[in-house]
Amino acid sequence: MTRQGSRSRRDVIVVGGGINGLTCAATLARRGCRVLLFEAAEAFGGAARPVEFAPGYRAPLAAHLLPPPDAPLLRELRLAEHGWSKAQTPTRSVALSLDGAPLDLDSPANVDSGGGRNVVADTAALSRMLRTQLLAPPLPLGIAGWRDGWRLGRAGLRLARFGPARVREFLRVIGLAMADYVAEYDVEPLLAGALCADAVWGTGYGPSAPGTVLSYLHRQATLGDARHWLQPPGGPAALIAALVASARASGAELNAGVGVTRILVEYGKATGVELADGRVIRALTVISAVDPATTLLQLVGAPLLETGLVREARHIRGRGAAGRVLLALDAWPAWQGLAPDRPIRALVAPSPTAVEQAADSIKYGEVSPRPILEVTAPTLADASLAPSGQHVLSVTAQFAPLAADATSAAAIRQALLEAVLATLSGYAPDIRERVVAAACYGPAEMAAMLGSQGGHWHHADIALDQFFFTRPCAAAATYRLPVDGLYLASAGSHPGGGLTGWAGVLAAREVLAR
Amino acid sequence: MTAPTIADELKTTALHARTAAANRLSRWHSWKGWLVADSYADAELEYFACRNAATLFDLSPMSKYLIAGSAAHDVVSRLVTRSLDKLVPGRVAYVALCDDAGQLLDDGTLFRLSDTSFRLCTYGRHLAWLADNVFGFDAEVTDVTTDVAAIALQGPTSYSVLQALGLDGVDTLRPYRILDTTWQGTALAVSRTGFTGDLGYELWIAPAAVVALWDALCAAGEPFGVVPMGTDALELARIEAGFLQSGVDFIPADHVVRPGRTRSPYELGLGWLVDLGKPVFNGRAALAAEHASGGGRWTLARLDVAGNKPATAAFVTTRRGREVGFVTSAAWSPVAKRNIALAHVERRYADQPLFADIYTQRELHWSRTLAPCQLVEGPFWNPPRRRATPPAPF
Repeated sequence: MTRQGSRSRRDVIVVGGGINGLTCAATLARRGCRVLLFEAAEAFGGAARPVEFAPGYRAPLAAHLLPPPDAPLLRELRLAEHGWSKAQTPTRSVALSLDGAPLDLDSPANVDSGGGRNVVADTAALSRMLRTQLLAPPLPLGIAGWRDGWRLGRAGLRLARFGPARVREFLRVIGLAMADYVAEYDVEPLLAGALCADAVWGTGYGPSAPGTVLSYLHRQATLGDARHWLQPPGGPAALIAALVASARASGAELNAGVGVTRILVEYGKATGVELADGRVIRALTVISAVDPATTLLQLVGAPLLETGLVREARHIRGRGAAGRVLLALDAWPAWQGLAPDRPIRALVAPSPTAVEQAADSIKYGEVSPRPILEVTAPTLADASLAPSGQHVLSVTAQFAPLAADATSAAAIRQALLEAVLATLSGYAPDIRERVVAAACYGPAEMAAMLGSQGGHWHHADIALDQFFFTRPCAAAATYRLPVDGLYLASAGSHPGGGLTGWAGVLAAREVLAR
Repeated sequence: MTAPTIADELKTTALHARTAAANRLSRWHSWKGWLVADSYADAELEYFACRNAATLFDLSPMSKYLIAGSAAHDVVSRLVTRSLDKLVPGRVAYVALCDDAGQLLDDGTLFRLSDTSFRLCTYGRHLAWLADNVFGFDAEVTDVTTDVAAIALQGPTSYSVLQALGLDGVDTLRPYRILDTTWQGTALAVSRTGFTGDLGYELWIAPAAVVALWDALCAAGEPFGVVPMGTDALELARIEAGFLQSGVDFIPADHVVRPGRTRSPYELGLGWLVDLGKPVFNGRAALAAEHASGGGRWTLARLDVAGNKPATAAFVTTRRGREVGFVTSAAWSPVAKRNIALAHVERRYADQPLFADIYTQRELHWSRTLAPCQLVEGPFWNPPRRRATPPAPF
């Protein structure tokens, strides 16, 4: 693959076939680039790819919930023509209670805290403000030229049109701890706990940590005005399949099971990639849709980068503390008030204190004995994921530490699986009898499977110090690296992950603007 | 109990017993936390000893870093802007360190001790930066500042002093080379390097032996006029030599707060230290862009200023009075018999007739002189004896 004979068409290599690699490849291919994508795993989709964790039982590897895809993305990549169905059953979100029926989190009546203030309505407004920033290109840290000034001005205007009161509130809460924010509202512990849990999924922090409001708003912002999650038939992988088809239809060449071992850099310029089978593919534009720290420190390697960039890359914060537990059940367990009639998202996070205490364990390098859980049952959306009449539970559980070695990794897996089963037994007493097979992945396994250094599914924490101007770090905040022709396009870049594909699209636009 | 003095809070070097005894003025200052003498008796006499005889200078506070390991060469090659092709073991190179933006962090001397080990000597402290530089390489960096004591022996009689000391091999030691030898059973490295722009040597030895070496140099140097020299006299000598002083002629880029106050090597007359042909070094991309666009906003001007009033802190102006730069170092040079200055001048005005706007105070009253300046190429003082091998004996 060389530039010879293709003066008008740009040759682009995309490393990584997760959602952002795919949206990036599809966008570039539609705009006429010759795109070659390599994914190390046998299937595309990264965190969204399904795993067969026991014979006959499948579940999404890491991401079991999909935010409704953005309408412009669907249009631009013509995903409807490639198998994406817009008719989706919304997921019902509930907070499980030990004392009675689950609390329905989708019903505003349940969450009104009186006095004219409603925490769900208020955070919805704030997340809408944040969403306007997430959909736009990131701002560079320095104001260099009219283009950057234009972007900064537009970012300010996007917020300003919500009015001074909203802007003031946005700026007040953006660095706040979710537990403190929620305490401003007089809501029942079950709701407060659910809000706090939704502020810390994927992170290594409890809701008392400053900045967790941003983490919450970010997650809500990915949902858009619909404010509910999707579990399409086939899981989030259904969107991945449509993206693959769209990219291929535009001429992109997508390869799964072909890992990139090195990104080649010579004299400060990207020149191609070296594949696991030893082949060297040349291109002057290389886009890495894998973890930024992995990209810089392993695929390129510190010796070929300038030291300031190495320093920044080493300090990207991305400590993940989420484990995944996949359970194969011979029948639907005896949940109180939870019928297997539509896709569910059930939270186990009884109170803000319970969430904070679950997070305390990670400070001491231990698995939480009473973890917080986000439970889905993928078989409620797609019965083919398990043998007929049986079910799969997909549980994201926090908090568990990143293992230092194989022995501690096994111990962490065992402790986490036991903690999850013990916790679930409180809500579904017969859960242990229902389980016919189980798989558990700790942060170390997640790190290996997601290719992210700390096991964080956003690669870099969603936090004020790694946002907009500085995501994942200042030197790489506009997707473009100080290495000519090398770009970042993963969840670690603006605007973060969460199966939106936005980072890939925005990175593609940055590539096309050059 | 008395109030702590500056001396209580600063570290003292291994030579403190000798430098304190010699410091009749008891005038000291801090060199990055170390107590060092401004001058011992009379800065002018120390300066003239440096130019006409020889002086001893306690160089121990110089930051010294050992970079060692199989990839040490690659570490150092990325760290500094210049090519290391000629830096074989036993040689020393003057180097510049830049950040990613191509802005100067420090200058220094780089000693290649062996194939796989280097010693970097800088005025400032850079351990954190160096630790980030070895990341990803098979190499380690160690701060050896307190493990190696050093004496600078500088001046036209310095060669004869070393001969009198009984060191073999100094006669064939060329500039920027290292002689590894032993003295009284202790390993001693002699490098023909220095900060005075003259014939001179730097002697590197274990701290435990440095007092004895100082005493021996004083004894051997007695017939050759050796005296201890403080920083005041060195300051005049280094301006004559055209050397830059960190914190005076440039602010290290990692200390700068305000935009536009950093400088690239091109802006400090150090473009000759930048080898854009190297595949990777810190600042390469930025410096390549700067080089392509003509070399940065500023240029370092060596000025021969009319009159005899040092142009200290003077604005540099055009004939019409436009301020186009400022003097960072200035002195009347006794040896060059010229009024000299180092100045930052905006590059686009550097070829115009320049003037130094000098303010001088006499008995409270200020007077102002607009002194015409001539640009000088190269150092103000660069005697042939600096390079002669073997140097002439006295």
